[in-house]
Amino acid sequence: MKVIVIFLLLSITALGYNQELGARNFALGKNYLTHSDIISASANLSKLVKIESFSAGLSTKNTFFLPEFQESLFCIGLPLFKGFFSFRYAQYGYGLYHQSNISLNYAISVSPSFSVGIALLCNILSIAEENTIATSFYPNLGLNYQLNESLELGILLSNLSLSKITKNSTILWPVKADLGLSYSINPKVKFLLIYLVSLNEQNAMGCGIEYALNSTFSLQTGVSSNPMLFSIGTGIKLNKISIDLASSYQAFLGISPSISIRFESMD
Amino acid sequence: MKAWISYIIILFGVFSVVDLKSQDNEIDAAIEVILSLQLEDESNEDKDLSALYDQLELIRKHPININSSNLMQLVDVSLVNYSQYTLIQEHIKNYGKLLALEELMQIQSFDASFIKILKPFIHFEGITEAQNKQFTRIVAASKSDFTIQYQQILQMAKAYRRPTPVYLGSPARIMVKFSSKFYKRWRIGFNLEKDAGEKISFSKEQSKLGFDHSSIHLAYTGKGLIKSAILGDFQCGFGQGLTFWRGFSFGKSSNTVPIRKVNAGIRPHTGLDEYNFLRGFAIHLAKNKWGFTSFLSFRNLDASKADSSQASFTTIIKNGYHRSISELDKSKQVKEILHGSSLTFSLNRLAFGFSYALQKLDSPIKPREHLYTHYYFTGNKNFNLGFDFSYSFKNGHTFGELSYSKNNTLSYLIGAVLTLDPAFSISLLTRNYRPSYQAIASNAFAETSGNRNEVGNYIGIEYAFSRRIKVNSFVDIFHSPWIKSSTRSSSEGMELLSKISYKKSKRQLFSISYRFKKAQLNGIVEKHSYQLRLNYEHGINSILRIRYRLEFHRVNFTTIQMGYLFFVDFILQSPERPFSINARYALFNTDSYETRIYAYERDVYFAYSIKPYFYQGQKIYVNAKWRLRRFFTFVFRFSHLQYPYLKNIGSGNDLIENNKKTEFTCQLRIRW
Repeated sequence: MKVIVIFLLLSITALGYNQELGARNFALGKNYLTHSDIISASANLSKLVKIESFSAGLSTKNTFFLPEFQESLFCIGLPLFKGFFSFRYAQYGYGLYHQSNISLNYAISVSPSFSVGIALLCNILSIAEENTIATSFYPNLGLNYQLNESLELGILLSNLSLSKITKNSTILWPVKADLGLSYSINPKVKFLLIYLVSLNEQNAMGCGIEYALNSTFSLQTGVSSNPMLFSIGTGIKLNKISIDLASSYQAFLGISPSISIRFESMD
Repeated sequence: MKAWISYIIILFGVFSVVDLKSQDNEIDAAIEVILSLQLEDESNEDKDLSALYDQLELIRKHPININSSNLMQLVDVSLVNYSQYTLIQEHIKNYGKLLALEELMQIQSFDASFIKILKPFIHFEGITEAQNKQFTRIVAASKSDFTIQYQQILQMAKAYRRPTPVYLGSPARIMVKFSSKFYKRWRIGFNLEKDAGEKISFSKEQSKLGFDHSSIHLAYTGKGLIKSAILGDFQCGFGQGLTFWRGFSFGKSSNTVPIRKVNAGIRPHTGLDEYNFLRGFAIHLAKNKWGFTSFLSFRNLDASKADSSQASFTTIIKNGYHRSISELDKSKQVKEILHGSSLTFSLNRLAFGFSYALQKLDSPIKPREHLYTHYYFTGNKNFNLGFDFSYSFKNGHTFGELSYSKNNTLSYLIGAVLTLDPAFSISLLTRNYRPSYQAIASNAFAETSGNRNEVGNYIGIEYAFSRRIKVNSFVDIFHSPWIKSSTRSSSEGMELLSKISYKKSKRQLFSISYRFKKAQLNGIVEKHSYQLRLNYEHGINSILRIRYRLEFHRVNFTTIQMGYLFFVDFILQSPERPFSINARYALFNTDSYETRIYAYERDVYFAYSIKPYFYQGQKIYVNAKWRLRRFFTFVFRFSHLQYPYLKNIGSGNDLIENNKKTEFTCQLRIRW
């Protein structure tokens, strides 16, 4: 039974892999649309425009403490051409199944409250059993709108070109629209909500709360569906470096730890 | 001399920049307001909205004095509802004529953003500035308008396959439209159209010569006894539409209170609907409190016969397609002579009218024998008589219509709209359209078309919590005493809609609506349909607007089926710039066609549409309009629909053996 569940999750995670999020977003119930975080550079596209200086990040996650589910990513970005340009590399898998994801992202502000981001993603999929190495490309589009000081709306449209995982496959990379909302209850507490509608996955949602204890420490917790996961995390900010630690809990399969380190040249 | 120079300078200025760049955007904005209030469902799917565009354009060129009863023209096009009309009349009565836009804001339900939409269509008498603007607009308004359009789906449907194509013509849809105003009160216009698959024929051997559909009208609008007269193609409607109505109109909408239809009278048929019009002569006379409308129409209608050897036919075909030999065989099979008149009398708050319509067909109609067609009209002569009334009182009005058909059957509807508080309005309507009521052409308030076999009660409310928050809701409970094509016994149903709109600012509008519909099918089985819609619209700046919608549809019938639609619209337009662009990205996933979700799509001129989204796919469309100088406007539309999990799109002759459907439209509009 455990093996079946693992493989089901593997397939879900594999297809949704380009959404590897980083520890902070993961702790917030997979809410990544409405706060700027270089770690999830191809996910919170339009929000990246809020990063004003050179930024870089590293993240790794181990789902259910299984070596097959090791994920890691690296990203780097800097302000360029009135917007923010970033590069992100993520990889996932093991000997028989390996997936790499490269994305080039650019975000720009259309107005003080509205920003747009576009990403070009390249997925390289290698399946040893089928002797297959497949490369596919697709664009993503992100929108972010600051409704007022406390309310913010974010949208990510993924795989606009309906790319398939391999040329002859009928399976598509996730075609979906992520709709995110964040509400700052007060300067210290932020509530986040995300809803995902998809062409080839079940609709899902997640919500999370972030509490900033002070300028250095923050706590996060969240819950997300499909599969149902509870997550918690903490963030530590030391001058230009931020470290996020998070873990989720699944009743049957256990915990999944994650760690991210971010660097921003301007504090 | 100086005056002449000034005049020329003014004219030059007017002709070069002032008006026409913004004209299209203003009409588009008004149409969007009108359509946003309509139910985006199958009831509005095939409506030809080009006539609506024409009417708005006409009003835009000749704005209406808000202090006059001509304001009813805006009620007629659904831009202003009847409650708003009566509020204006009440305001004028209590405080005198309206003098400025700011004064309009004092009236409940007129907020700044709506007034902005309304502004191009109205003027205030006695205001020099307004008169100047009015003058400017009239001078700048074009008198003649010519449009040519080419539209094609790039993927070939099965019916075009060689060597034996079923459709005789090319896959292109071509449309030519012209209208011109002359001698101030005259207007002439024609439309030519060929649908995809139809042939433009240059020989008379085939039954159609030239374009498949052609329409022409010559209209006169007067100020004396003859208020209007039309020769050619026109539309006509009397009273509440129960006795006679052949033309465009909306039904139930999320604007839940204004349910009264305004006596449409006669108007030129400027749209491309190939069935819903009359052909002949019509006149409207008015003197003091009396009005008289009469028409005579001769048309050849498409019809199908059960057996070619029989003289009678079973159905009148209304879709207007003549693409294949079998469709051409059904073309112009029946000659229809239609005559109707209406006499109206208005006395302050009371108005009533008598109307009748007579129809004569050269071959008798005899529907196929089914239980549900038992009460359908058979024969070749039919008539309807009707009486309609409306009465306005202090805080509301009541209206109704009683109709009689040749087979001694009466049907009626009666309704009232009450403004119990400036913030709270309620409307009530009861209707009893008997199964045996046989209308020639009717379009009264109803759940189903045909105005027969329906007894129902409707209650609609509107409550404005504040200027920002408004709630609209209606409940319609209906019953069919006789069986319908989809049922095996009498059936009943119910529809409920609730909508909360929150207008945060001029630029931000949020609405959430819930719709529930219950219908009884095959006697005891009930079909429940639930729809939840979230809509958010915000103006990023003065030229860019973005709209998001997320809608869910769940149907409980034999199984539970689900569907959703998400789309984001980008609308880029500015009165100061000669171009406008709008685009949509839509993602949808429905379990079946049953859970389809309808949404309004922007299109080229004269082609507004409400389209269904079903199965799993995505759709992208882009519309671009570019105005070159004063005369020319180029319009381009590209739409791409893709179903990744389907091998074919469509069925029958229209089957496309591809999972993509790409359509482009080019339009050139010349106004001078």
